[in-house]
Amino acid sequence: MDTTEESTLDEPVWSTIKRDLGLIGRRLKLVILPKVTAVEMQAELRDWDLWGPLFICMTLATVLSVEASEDASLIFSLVFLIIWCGSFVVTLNAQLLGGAVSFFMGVCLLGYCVFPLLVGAFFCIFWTAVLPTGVAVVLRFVTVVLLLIWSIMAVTAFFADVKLPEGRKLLAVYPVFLFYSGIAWMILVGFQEHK
Amino acid sequence: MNEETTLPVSTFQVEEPENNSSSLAVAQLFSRSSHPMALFFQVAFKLVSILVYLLLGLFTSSFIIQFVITVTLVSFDFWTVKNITGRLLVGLRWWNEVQDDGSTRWRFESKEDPTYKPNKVDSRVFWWSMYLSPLIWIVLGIVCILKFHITWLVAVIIALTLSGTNLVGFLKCDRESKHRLSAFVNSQSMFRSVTKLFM
Repeated sequence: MDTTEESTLDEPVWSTIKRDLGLIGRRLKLVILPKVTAVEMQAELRDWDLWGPLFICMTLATVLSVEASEDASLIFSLVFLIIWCGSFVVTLNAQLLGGAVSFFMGVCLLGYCVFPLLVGAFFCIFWTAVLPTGVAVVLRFVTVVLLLIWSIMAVTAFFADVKLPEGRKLLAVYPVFLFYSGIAWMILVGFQEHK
Repeated sequence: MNEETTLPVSTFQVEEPENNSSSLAVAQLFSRSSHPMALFFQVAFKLVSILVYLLLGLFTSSFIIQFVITVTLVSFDFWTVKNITGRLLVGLRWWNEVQDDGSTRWRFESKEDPTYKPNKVDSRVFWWSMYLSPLIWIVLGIVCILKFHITWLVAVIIALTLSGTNLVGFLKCDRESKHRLSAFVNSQSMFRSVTKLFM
């Protein structure tokens, strides 16, 4: 089994670091511009990583808990739990529906696709800081909804490739929709209570 | 565990009875290692993440800073051991890949060279630290549950999952490489006996 794959035991440390950093960058680009062929998508997902999801999740949790001011630690852990348990349940659902998706692959994919929502949270910080309250509320809502659609589009682009049986695609995408809407709602409510 | 990890104990202790100072012992450990830098990082990330988890609360009241630093260090440790120190210290590396049908497959790499033996200090420190870190996190997790610190339990679960996965990966990899090695030795001896038969 090793003859087909080249040995990586003796590669220099620097090339290991460079390769993995490049991997994360490439994936973020795929989420921002979800326009690739199914084959590329499959190849990208096969070699999953949890770095992107971990840092996206940690940044989002930090932003929301700093915004919350009281009970920061509770909100931080809550965001953390919702994102990881949410991706777990959504992946499990896709598996039960007969999709060809492994657990880590699903968590990796769902975690990376939270990225547009994280960008949305940063927009919210900006709007809240520079605009009067009334305008900020509207703009926050519009930005988060737009970026929510972006996130869901990125996931469905990936999900198109997990070979779900006909007619079940919607059943798999629907929980994704709920999951991301929940995160978007948390972002909106978090900023609402602040003002 | 490895046979070679239990062997050097005697030789090791015979030579350093006078050196009671622990810093000297550590210095000696590093001088005997063939990859001191890798040895350092193998232990450093584990040690510092546990220290940050236990003690950073004394210096900052922010749960978030402490949590983020702990989880970041734990994941740096995971990445470093899986991708760098594992292959430098014991010549092993594991991969978990997804196949077309969605199932996962373990892939193991070990040194092709049958005469390769990892440095004794390296492999001892490697395996000890690999076994100890999930154990310590289990204990910390139990403390968390008893004290009802549910928010901190999240951090401990992450640390335990990562260190546990790494340990399982390397144990499987080690078993696989031993298996491969014995298969190689068997084929060699078979080849020899066959050639003897014809000479």
